[in-house]
Amino acid sequence: MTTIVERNSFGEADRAAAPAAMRIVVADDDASQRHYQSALLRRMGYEPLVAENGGRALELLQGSDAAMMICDVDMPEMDGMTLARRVRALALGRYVYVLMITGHHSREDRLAGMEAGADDFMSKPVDASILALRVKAAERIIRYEAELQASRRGLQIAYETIRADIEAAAKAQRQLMPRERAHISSCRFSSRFLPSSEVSGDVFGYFPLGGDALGFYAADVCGHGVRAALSAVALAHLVTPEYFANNVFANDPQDPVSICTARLVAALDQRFLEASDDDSYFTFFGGILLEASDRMHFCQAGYPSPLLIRADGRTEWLGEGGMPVGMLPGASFDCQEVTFRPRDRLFVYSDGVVEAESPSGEPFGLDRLAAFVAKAPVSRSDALLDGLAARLRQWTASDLFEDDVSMILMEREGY
Amino acid sequence: MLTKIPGSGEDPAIFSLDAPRLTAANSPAFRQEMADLISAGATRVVLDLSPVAFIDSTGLGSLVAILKQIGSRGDLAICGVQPGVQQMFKLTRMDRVFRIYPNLAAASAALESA
Repeated sequence: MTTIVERNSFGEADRAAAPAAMRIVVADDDASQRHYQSALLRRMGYEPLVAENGGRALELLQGSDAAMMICDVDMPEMDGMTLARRVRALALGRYVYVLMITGHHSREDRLAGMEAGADDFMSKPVDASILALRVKAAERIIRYEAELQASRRGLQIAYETIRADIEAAAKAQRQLMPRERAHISSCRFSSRFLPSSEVSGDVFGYFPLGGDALGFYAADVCGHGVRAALSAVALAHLVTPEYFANNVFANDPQDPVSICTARLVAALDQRFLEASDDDSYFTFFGGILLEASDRMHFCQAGYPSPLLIRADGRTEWLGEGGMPVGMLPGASFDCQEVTFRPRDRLFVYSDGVVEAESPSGEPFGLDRLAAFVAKAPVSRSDALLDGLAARLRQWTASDLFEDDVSMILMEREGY
Repeated sequence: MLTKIPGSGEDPAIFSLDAPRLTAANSPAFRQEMADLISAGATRVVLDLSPVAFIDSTGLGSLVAILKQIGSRGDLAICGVQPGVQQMFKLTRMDRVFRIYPNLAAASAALESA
């Protein structure tokens, strides 16, 4: 599309337009009015684009970066009202300031004009000094509008970048988590990892430790979102099977029975106390199962008590609590012991499960959790975890959890 | 969020935490308010948690941070611990870290005699 710049009728030479001369569409069916207004605008340093009718005005607006339109309200074919409405309907990606020239000083005309999308009005005959003031005022608004648009675009780009980064982080975090189903010696693990936002402060793992031993852990970094997720990822990288074994088993290879899960937690505590300079900490539950002796050793550091479901259906909560990790210097941790026989099951869950609140603010709680787990058919681990997730969604009346939710079901196969 | 108990003195300073929940949403504001008070000289503080039914992990972190800020310069006594909060304190052993009293009178008396 070509843009026609009408020569001004006063015979002035085209001034070399200043770098950012604002383009203004002048729409009027009256040629003398067009020429007169164009000349005034050009003298003021603007670049007029003239249109003899509404259709042409729309073309010019679409084919240029014109930020303003001066239009006559009385035009054949398309009148000024219709034109203003059509301009507002265009998806130009910029604001077009509409100055409407009305033939008579009528209140009704102006109200109708505003409704149609006009920003300002002038009446005929057009007075040069008033036009200059009106266009200057319009230019201020247009510049302000353009600055707003530019900063909004900047924010949009920044938002999209952050969003993409968080999505990438979430993907990386999911890859760090163990598979939802794993078979380690005589134990079957099933798990669900349901972050409250893209990324999560929850992390867990389960792995063989050599011989008849296997280890598992679950941690919940306080808070959620990106900050918590960064700590969770650091923790997941640190707690490898080697790190786990090196800290849980005594250094003395001659003394293989002196197992201490509290030593592992104390090592993490020291590490994270040194590393963090803010209020952050995490809760942790770590355990080791020695299959030959049916013994499970565990350390609970502020993490919710897992539910132990015996083969005969009896249930018990494991542990009496313990200080969180990386919270206060001088914390001490205990290693406790319990039997874990074939067909026993252990349900480990983050506090997002029991703290999930109904719309009236009632937490899901330990009793409902125990009742749900006890009712669930044995050896249908996946159904239990998915069923509980559905139950929580029903309880909270929401598809998104307010806190990160982790669930791990560990079951020993029968002989 | 913090309301001075009417008629209470400056030392110990006695405040009620007027929020039904202390969570990630309001912990930073609570933490800041407490930090300002402590900086202004309130190092022996009684905190009444009676209005608070629920504290999440971030809320607990802020309470511990306040305890750390007061440190050896003063004392923090807590009272009015609701059952849900008590359960959380027990799980995280904070019932052994904080000085917890059954009511305001006992908490103030403990700090006054200190």
